[in-house]
Amino acid sequence: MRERRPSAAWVALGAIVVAVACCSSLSPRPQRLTLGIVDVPATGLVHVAKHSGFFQQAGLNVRFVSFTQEADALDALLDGRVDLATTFATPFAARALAGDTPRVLTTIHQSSRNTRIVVPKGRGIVGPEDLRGRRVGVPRGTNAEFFLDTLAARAGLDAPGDLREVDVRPQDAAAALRRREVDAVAVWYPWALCGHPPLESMECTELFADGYTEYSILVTRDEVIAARRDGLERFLRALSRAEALVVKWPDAAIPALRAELPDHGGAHLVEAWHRVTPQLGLDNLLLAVLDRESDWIEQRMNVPVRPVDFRALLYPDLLLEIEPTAVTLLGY
Amino acid sequence: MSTLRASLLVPTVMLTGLVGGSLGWVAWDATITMNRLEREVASVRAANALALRLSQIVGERQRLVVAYRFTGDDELLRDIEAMDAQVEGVGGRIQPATLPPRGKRIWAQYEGMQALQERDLAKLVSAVRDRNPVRVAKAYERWSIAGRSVRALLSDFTGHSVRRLDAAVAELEGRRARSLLFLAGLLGASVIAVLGFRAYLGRRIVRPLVAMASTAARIARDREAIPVEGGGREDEIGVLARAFNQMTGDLVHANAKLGDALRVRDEFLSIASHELKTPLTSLRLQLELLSRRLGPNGPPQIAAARRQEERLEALISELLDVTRIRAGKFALRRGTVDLSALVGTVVERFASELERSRITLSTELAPGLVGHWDGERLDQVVTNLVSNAVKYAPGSPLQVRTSEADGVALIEVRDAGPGIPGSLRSRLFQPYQRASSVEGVGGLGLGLYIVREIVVAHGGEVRVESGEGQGTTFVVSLPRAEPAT
Repeated sequence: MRERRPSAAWVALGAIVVAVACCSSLSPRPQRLTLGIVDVPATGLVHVAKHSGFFQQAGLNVRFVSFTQEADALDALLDGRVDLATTFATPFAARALAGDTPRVLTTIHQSSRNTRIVVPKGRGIVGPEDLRGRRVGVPRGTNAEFFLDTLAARAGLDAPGDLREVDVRPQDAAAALRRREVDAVAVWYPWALCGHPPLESMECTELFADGYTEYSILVTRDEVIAARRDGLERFLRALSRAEALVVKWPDAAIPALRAELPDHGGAHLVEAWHRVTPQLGLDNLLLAVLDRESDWIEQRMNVPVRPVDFRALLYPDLLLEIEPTAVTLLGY
Repeated sequence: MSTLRASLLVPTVMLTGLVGGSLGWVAWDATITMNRLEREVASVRAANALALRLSQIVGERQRLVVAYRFTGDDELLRDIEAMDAQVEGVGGRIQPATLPPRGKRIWAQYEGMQALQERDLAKLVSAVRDRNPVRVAKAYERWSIAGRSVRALLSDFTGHSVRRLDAAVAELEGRRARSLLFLAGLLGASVIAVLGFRAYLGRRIVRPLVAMASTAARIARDREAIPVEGGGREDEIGVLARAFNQMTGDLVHANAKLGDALRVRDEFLSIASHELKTPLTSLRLQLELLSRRLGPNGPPQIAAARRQEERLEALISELLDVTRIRAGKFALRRGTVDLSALVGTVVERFASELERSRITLSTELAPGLVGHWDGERLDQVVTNLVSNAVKYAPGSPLQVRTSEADGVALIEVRDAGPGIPGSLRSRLFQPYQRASSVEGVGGLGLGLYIVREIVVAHGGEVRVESGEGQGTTFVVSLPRAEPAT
């Protein structure tokens, strides 16, 4: 009987299988990134990406460092303690006016109803005009302060003394209302929730400012971009996957938020999530908001500051590669 | 029955389906994509055109509002209101339902901000009419802030449209690259399929046929019935193999029967020849005795009887020779032979017959043509050839010559008779072949067969050159040296 020899095709097929097996076993080690994050529902895209395992699947090992206020996360970035940070437009504009150059990779959310004035009912305040002469608690140096001034200006309360602003930390806002240290507070969701401790016995009115738009943004430093561009790209790709997920199934984020933000309770997370538009992007409205906030900061400081070209602080290259239609700024 | 045609149909249909289906899919996909992209591009163009028009109107309106702020001119206000109507008209042509989610969001924000700016404008108009500079300044600032957002959102709307266009182009390029890759893959798959089909054909059809051809050659060589492979198959190859095996068995069986019949015939001829030889010898001796006693004045019937006896003896000798040849008992007794002398002796012996047949003989005999041959058998060769000429070409010239070329002795016997028909030439040297068209010529048809066997036994060859009406030439070539054994 003739001896059967393996054909060249079988040998080639075997070689391919072995090569693929070898390559798959040589997967690169996960890249490490440290993220400073403000643990609020507005930054939910990051939590969804984490909870869904998108960072891990992208070959990333992300360490999360939590902050209560967005300015603290930004400071941690500028100090080099974290590689990335989520923050809001107001502290970013303030640091840029101070000469720092954090780079914006993308927005994370956009909203006009996340930050609001909380007023317990029965205190004679039903509209913005009723705040005249009242004490309003607000965390200084945050977008809530900018929000309060925007609301006050639209209500004609922009003269000195029209409002008595009191600096309160977001986590202390509800207690200050309960103790009547302030008549109202300007904070972002989910702080100062009436019907929940310590305001469980109160009903509240919420006031919003026309024309106010807030952004949370993902920022980094130039040296991180230079050294770990691939890691940042993977990070954004994971966020893009999370965005696609919540656009298709908005409620898919709720289990992730409940799991990742246990301190915020669960009942109001759905409402909090529906107040924001989770959205990656770099757009002209963000630049308009930053310009306006920098004008506001300049007026508050009452000293001339060096103008900042916020467009130069954007770094759209990565987002353009991943989600081109999210970058509506032209010229890149 | 699982026919070969049916089994070939499956891979053919598969290959055709693979190629046709894939190409169809590519064409369908390309058409769908192109249609979708065309709609996308048309939508983007329309939205862009409207957004640009809106930007122009908004810019013009801003200029008019600035002028109104400082002049309070009601005509400017009417122009502003006309501009607002234009903004509303152009904006109304945008169809949010046709926009992607991000485009819808931007447009919704634009409409909200536009409405806010209209409210701010109303406050500004009120302040201007009240001639309150502080209120005018504040109202204008708020209107201006809203206006910045409106322009930013219009820019975002345009930017998003441009990015959609870029994305559509990128998708088109990507789709083209994927299609090319797919077609390359299809080509590769087709090549593999064709190679596989070829291997299948080779295994299923060509290999059995080659095996059959090889087996047929073995059967022809060994005269044995060897079965070919594939007889157990149910397709056409199986049918062919079974028919082949049946045919081979029949042929071998028939061949065996034929061999038996020939052996019986040869045995009969051998026995008959030997048995005839003895009384014939006795008859010849008695005729010779009778002829000597009666002398030259004896009756002519004696001489006629002797000629018939000689003829009968020649026939019996031929039969004996044939039986020896076929029995493999034919042997040469070589010795030194002068071929020209031998040929001369033979033609002299035919002198009276040539004269009776009115044949003019001419000879051309090369001297010294000596070789190591069986003289008695070569005598038989020349005798048969000259005898043939006498029988078939009476009344025509006969030329006999000997020569030598390159160590080979040649005997050439040429007559000018009627020639040999082409149909007979091919079997002229086979036993029992006679030119039946020539009347009055007897014989068993063994002479040329014996000639060839003798010449071949000497390592030589005999050939005939003839054509109808062109005479006949037999050429015998004999190696002078004894062939090495």
